[in-house]
Amino acid sequence: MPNELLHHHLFKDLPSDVTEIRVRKRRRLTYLTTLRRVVLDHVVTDAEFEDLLSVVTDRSLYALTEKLTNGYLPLKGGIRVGVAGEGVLDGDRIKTVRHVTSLAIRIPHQIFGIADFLGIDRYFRQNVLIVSPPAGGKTTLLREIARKLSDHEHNVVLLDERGEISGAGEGGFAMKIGENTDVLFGFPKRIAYENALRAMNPDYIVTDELSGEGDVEGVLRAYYGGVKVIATLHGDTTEAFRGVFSPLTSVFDRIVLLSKKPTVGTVKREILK
Amino acid sequence: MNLGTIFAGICAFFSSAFVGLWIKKKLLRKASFYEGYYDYLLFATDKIGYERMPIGELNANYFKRRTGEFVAFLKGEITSIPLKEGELTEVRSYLDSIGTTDAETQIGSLSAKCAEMKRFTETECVKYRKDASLYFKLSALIGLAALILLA
Repeated sequence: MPNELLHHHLFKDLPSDVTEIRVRKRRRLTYLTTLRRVVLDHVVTDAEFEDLLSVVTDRSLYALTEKLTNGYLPLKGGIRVGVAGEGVLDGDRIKTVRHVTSLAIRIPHQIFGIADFLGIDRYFRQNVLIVSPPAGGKTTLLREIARKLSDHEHNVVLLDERGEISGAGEGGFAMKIGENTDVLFGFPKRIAYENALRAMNPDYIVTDELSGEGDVEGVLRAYYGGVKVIATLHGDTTEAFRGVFSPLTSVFDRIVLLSKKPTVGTVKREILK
Repeated sequence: MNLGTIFAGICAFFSSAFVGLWIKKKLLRKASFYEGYYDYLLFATDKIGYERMPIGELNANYFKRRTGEFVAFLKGEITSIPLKEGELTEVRSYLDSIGTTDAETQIGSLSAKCAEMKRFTETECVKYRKDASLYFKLSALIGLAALILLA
């Protein structure tokens, strides 16, 4: 177990391959593995929920107010806890979140060799975009590609804002990310691209969940600077380059579309430029 | 006058003085506990208000700088706490609530509690200290009276 949170009594009967746990106040506990979704009979009481929230926040919810406004809490071992509750506005920005009612605990898994079937050699000197719906296995695949590239003597810079890919925290990494991987953890993406290109001399920039203009600008800078980019994007079609992402049309040499069916991480389609 | 009654009088004096001393100690411990509680709340308000310091780190810092009845209570090192059950429950309940709300609510709550405890220490704790001294003197006096009467 990567984090003491998972030793909480609510989770004592969960299988070891659990990838996501949904804890909702006064509702039934639900979890996901790579193969199935299970709804337990146990209804989470207010007291159990508050106790779990206290563990998640290390009894210091006030210290995490700013992180809560992003909707999630990054924990040790790359665990990410999504938080839903009442947003308190200050003008047009979320000031804090009160009365938390749901927690989505996502547990990262490292599956060695998961990228082998893609033929890792094909990814050398290529820009690759992995497209998948949420919880489709893209981060797991991305982590493994980064590790493989790194172990093949390429300098890989991981832009890991939330520590989800590397399991970063307290100066170390919970995941194996390769001998030649440098991690920019906690850096907002717009700063991370800049720092990676300026200071880390990467062969590859690896980043999860492209999400806006900052990412598009960063990827383009890397592309025009001769650095290869391996990235992921939320989606369920290969028509990924719409709207804000349209400038990236010419960037990626290969698009890999993942599906959750029949199992998480299934390659549904691959497109070569 | 016989030795028996003198001995009984001395015993009554010491018993009474001992009871007085016990009451005095208890009241002084109670005052010291509440003063420690107030000091902790001030510390927490400062560290949470300005630094958003997590509770574990906050306690560790506090333990480095302070000693006394309340610190021992926080560390779980004492079982005999000089408070009545209801008073203790109130303190425990407030301490347990720290860390369960967002920053703004937490700081507001701590500030209000500090103001309440400031008033409390300025009135009740002063009274506890005065009473402690008074009870001891009174008990010693009762003991002395018993000694005189018996002797």
